[in-house]
Amino acid sequence: MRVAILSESPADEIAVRILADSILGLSTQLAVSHKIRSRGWPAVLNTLPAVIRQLHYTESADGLIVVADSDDTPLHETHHDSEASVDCRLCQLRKKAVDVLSDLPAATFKVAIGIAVPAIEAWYLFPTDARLTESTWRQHLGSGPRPDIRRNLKKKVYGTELPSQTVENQRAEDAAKQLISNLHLFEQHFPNGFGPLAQALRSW
Amino acid sequence: MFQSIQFKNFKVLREATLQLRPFTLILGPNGSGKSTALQALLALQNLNRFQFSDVASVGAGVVKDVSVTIRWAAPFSECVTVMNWAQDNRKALNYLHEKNRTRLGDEIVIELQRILNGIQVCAFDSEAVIQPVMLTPNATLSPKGMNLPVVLDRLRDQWPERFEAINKEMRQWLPEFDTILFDTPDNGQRSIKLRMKQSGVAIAAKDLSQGTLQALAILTIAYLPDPPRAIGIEEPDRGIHPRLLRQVRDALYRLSYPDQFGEGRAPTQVIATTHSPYFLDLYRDRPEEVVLAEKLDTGARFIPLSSYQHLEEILRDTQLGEAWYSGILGGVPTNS
Repeated sequence: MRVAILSESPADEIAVRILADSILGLSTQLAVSHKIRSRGWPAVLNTLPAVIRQLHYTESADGLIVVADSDDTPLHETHHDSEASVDCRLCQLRKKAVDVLSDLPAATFKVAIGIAVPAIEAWYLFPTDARLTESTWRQHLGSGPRPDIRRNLKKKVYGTELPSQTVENQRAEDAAKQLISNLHLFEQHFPNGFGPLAQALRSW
Repeated sequence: MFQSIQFKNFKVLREATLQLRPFTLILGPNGSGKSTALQALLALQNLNRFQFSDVASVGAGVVKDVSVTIRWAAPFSECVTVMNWAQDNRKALNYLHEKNRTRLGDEIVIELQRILNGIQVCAFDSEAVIQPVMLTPNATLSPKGMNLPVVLDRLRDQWPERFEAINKEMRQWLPEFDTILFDTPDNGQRSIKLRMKQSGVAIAAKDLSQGTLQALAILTIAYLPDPPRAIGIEEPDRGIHPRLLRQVRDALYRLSYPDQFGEGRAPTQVIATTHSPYFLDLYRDRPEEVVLAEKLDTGARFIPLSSYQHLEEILRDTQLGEAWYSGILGGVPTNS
């Protein structure tokens, strides 16, 4: 299966691919000649239409996987599935993907979208420290934006607030390999950000 | 003006063709042949600048000959200039009819040589730009930007309206300054200063920022009365604030499309390189001027952005720079 991954960093891509391979039960190939990169959240959203069109017109992809961090934005909720929220990043990405794909009726590849709450480092931390889950983050958010927690998260995961790209990549790979040993538990604790990604991938 | 440059076994450009317009912007990863293409222009001026071993591609089989072929645009569109380096160090530079490959007449050859000899390839270096220089008649801006004080001094004396135009434009780019001043650090030498608008204090070139010096060098070239007929500029955006990149583009367009700027002189063909998505954004409506350099396993190639199918649609709601950075258009490092 040939997939493209649109995420916020090379490390994210490594982890997402390991997770996707585990869910799909196969070893995916990257569908694009160049790895897709974006410059953080706004760029993920802004680049998505161009990525979808490019995949449709010039690459033979079977699927596109998109993962972004939620940062301090509202979490995706189950009821958004029937009425999308304008503030929820998962809903924004889904809407953009649907809009673009509706203009490309012949597009054959599938799209799976996930949101790491509050950042993908929470996923990496989960196998060794399960205190920061979507549920606990929802409580934190109740008292307003929490950039302090997100910064500490990096330190907890990498041992420094300023990890090198090499360190990030290695940590992402190690953590993703640990996560796939109990994906069910992981999905239980990240039901609204990782859950939709896993469900979409299972439907491919 | 050049229509294209075709490379065979020239360093990383094993088999590549660079299509050129009056203005061409090349983007690509490090080592993808952007600077190599500009180097080839210098080889045209002096074949002996490079030996076979300097230019022959390495790493994928034995190379026996190297060539660079220039296809000229109108009014010389029937002409090609071919440079060859052979393994035994024989070199040749031929001016030929494109169709039958017979030699061109002397008159045309002299005209083409005159254009080639005027080619300039610049990578401005602030350390060179700040150097005080001896006043010498007809000194031109060096590839690194040396001689800037002398060139500006000559403009002030011989083309005061151009010197004033540079001052005026500089005030738009860098409003904290109001005029270019000259200093004579030693007998017969010139250096430049920029006068602060508010305080009137003159700041010596050595104390100006790298971006300010780069801006000044680009402005100077843009307003020369007799710029080279072709110029390669490495990273004209280097050190310059992204909000000023539109002005940089305008200055380069002044060279390429002089009639659009009220200039009566012949156009200068500009080939610029960049790594800046912000600079690229300015070419959203002019994809024909953008070329993406792409690294291959054993070489590199050039892909005109305008050759992408469905480009308009792909970019419908995405900035060109963002799309390029994302990698979907190519011209990016493969493993990062």
